[in-house]
Amino acid sequence: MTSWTDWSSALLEAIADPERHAPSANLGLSAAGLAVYRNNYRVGLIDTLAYAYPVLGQLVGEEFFRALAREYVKHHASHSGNLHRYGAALGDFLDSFEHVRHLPYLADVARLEWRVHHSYYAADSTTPDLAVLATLEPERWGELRFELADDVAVVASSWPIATLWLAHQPDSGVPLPERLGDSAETALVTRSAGTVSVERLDSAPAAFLLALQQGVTLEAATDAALRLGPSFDLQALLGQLLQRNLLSSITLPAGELP
Amino acid sequence: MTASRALIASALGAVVAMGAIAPAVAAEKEKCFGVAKAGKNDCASVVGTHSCAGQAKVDNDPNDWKFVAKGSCDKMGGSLQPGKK
Amino acid sequence: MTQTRLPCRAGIGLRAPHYQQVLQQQPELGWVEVHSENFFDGGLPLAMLHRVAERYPLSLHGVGLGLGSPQRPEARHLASLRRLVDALDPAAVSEHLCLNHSATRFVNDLLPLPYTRDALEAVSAHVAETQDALRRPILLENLSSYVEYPGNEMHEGEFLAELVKRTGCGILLDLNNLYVNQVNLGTDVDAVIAALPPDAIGEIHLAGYSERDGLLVDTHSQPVYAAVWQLYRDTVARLGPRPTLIEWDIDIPSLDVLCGEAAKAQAILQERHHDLVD
Repeated sequence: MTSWTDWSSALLEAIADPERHAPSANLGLSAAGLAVYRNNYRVGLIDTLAYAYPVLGQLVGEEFFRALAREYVKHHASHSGNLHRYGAALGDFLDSFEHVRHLPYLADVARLEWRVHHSYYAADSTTPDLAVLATLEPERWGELRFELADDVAVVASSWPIATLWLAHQPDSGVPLPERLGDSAETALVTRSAGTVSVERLDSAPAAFLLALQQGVTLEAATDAALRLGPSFDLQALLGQLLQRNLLSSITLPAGELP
Repeated sequence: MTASRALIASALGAVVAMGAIAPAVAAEKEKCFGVAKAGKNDCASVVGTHSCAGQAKVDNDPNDWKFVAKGSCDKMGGSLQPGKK
Repeated sequence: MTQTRLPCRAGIGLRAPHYQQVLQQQPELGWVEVHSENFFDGGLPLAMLHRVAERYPLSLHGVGLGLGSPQRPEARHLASLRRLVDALDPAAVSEHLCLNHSATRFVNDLLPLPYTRDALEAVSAHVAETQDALRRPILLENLSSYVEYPGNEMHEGEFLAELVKRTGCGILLDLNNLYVNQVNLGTDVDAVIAALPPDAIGEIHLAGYSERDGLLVDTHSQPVYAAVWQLYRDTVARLGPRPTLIEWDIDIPSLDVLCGEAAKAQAILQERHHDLVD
């Protein structure tokens, strides 16, 4: 008799990867029963992707989306009992999906949608402690690191992804972009009162926030912004970040204690 | 001091001095949310995915289905076809 | 029945399409149950659940820990559940006695596990670990199954009874699941219920199934069928009244229809126990 652990593993494989794991007869798995679980697995994950990627679904249509999702499910296993974590790599999958080669913006739209999905469920943010500023002379504030809140994200693209996303929101009043070439956009994802919003960033604030997201110092982020826009208004942006609660923490340079 | 450092010192100093830095407490911002607003934003309808039920839909893997996108990317005709990048 | 603080009344599984209406109209319901994972972390779902919990006794019903798996429950999943339980202090917390992962694989479903003594050792440890993390006993639900381990050393009822003995957990008795198993697998429903320690049964689930290729599939997409209502009457007569939930997850009907199903269950609870307050 197969041990309980081996049988359990074999059942999981037979459901999730039927092409490579035809179950042996001694597992006692009925074909009709296995078919119910295989269908549950596939439909469940396809529905989960449809739930996380509504704009992508509108862009390509439901039939195409479900076929795309079916292919993704074949190549990407679930790694968590929490379905909200499933589907993170769909953007990367689209990069190499031959049937969307003529629609190169889809991958970045998917990456933006994943961040929107993540933001919706993200833990409620903590407020940074500004008291740490007092422990450092202002000339050294550039060494601080500002961390974006978990419900905030910045996504850069060569395509107008923020406009595309907004154009697919009901009542946004934003039309589909007129053209796609020469219209790179960086999108800012935020959450307020539970509702996730996407906005288009100008190039200097985009560079600044992308740098913060990468975890660099305030000085490096400011440098990046000034390279793109010498008139970059840091004061206005910092005021917004704090007022809109988009930061979760301020970290002192190594060796400094609060 | 670099230009960036000077800018940071003045900008952050001004923000702190203005006192415009008291963000709404995180939990508070979620709690003051009204029911009517949730309906308008249609947020309530998207809570989900997890269920303890079996799937009622049946997914048949089509063998010869052609990938032809028929959503808004197609509806827009040529305008969404990327031009020069 | 010390595992929950649920009232001995009928409640409904509260799903997304009814959130607004339930919060606005506050229909008369004994309690409500939601799927824990849909409220992990934060944001609007959690904020809304706090509001629901202000009005109704709340049951958190998990679908993802997979306590019947060969591997321990996923640490981050358990941590998320603990944060949710700590934040809401629900009247009840339940999970399924199911398999959903191995070291290399997750299947987001509720799969049957082998009911063997070896499995019992491991699963007892997983249940104990979960109850320690949550600092409260949980209820474990019996499954609807479409396959079976051929070397079972006991049936699901005996396995659950052993878990109760070893861990102090309670039981969530799903009568639709039992009925589905009776039809699909020839499960002896009476034997399963008879094996369960009555005092450990803290909650009953009722739902509807659908039929596919000769199998009944537990889709929660229909009203409760007559045979399951009869099983419910018999069970209430046998055990006494228990907090009872109507589950409906697919093709979800209007709130009125759902509350109507709950009212039927409430009437059966009171048929035999006139002292219960409506």
